Amino acid sequence: MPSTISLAPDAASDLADQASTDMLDAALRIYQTPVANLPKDLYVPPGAFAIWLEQFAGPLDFLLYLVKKNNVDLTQMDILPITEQYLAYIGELDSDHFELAGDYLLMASTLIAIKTELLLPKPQTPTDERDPKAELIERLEAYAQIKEASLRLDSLVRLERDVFLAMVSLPSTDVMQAELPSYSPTLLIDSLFKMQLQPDYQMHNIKVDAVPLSDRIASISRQLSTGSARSFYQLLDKSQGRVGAVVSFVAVLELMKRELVGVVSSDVEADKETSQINSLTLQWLL
Amino acid sequence: MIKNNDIANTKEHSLQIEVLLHASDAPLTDKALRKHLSVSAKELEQALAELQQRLASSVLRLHKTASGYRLQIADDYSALIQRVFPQRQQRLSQALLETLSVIAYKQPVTRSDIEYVRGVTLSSSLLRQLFDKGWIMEEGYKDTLGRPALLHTTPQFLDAFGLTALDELPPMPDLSATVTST
Repeated sequence: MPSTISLAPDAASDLADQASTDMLDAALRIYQTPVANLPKDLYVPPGAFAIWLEQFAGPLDFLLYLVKKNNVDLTQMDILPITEQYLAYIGELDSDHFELAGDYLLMASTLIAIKTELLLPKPQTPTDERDPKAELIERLEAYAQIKEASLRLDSLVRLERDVFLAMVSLPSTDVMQAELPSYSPTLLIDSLFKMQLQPDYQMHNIKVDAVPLSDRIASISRQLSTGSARSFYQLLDKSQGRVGAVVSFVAVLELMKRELVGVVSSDVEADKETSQINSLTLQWLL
Repeated sequence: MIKNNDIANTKEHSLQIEVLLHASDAPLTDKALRKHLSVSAKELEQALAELQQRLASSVLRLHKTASGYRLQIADDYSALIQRVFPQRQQRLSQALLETLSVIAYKQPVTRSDIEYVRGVTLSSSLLRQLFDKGWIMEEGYKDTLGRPALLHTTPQFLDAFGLTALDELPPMPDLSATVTST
């Protein structure tokens, strides 16, 4: 079967010839050497057709290639043989090449639609639908025109291919930015100094209570629990002054709240007349 | 005496133009040069002619493009650059060239117009490449369903292909000629 033999990439350019003439000819070359007869057991890898197809820019490019190989005028061409050839080739595409096949399968469906139209008798009544064959030929023509135009565009003298800019000008903005001395070097020295000074800034001043409450509580507890009942005045540490008196009072309140210290009731009765606060007698309750 | 002064001025202007073209990262227009040098159109013309003459003995050439004047390396040395810095040579794929051609010749076009002409789904990376080169831009929308963006070529496209205007594009090939030429 000629189509399988012609799958070899070297034989690619002769693919259509073989398909249309159903024979091998000397135009088949391997490394520039004409090959008259292919060995019967020539192995052609299954993916070869897909690789060969990738050289085309798409189904239109491929169709155009078939048209040219068949040496027919696009405007006058009989679309059937081209369609047959196209479909024969696309049939070779397997499911491994879906990404390639998509556009080609779309074209195949268009071609099948055209083929069916041609085979069926034409309805006598005129329809609004456009002739799909004419439409396809139009598209092929438009594509051929653009393909040729792209070749002409490519042949223009192009910057950075045929001519080159004299790059004495500014380097890229990134380089420029890297070169720009936007910071003074003293900034580094300054920051070094600041770093060394840092501990001073972090010094915390912790205010120590002149008379710690806990000390007073402990002292008063010790005095009352080990000795007899005492008056508030007796419990004071005179060296602590006024603050000491206030903290001692808070300490006594705290101890009373904890129900460790109580006021001796008889003395309160007795002191009612004199109303002297310093005669308030406290005693350990436990 | 006055004449000598004129010659000195022209020479100085031509030097200044060269400096500006060296220091600029984009081509400079007539208008920009006239403004920066505070010279008349005629003086600029003389200075440019002087510059062209002076550059003739160097490897640089003054070239006028769509977006202004630029300095480029003399064509004679292109082969040397291509040999030593092959990475500087930008090759364009057939798909890219065809897409660019559709935009250049049929602008403004939409993505689907390009796909219809080429019969292939247009990959975004291909279009991205053209945008990245600054050769195409989106401007306006087609008044159809979905309001697709319209693609145009840019002055940079003309610069890259050595054209000063779109009408300098090589003529669209004749339909019958393309089909029969096998």
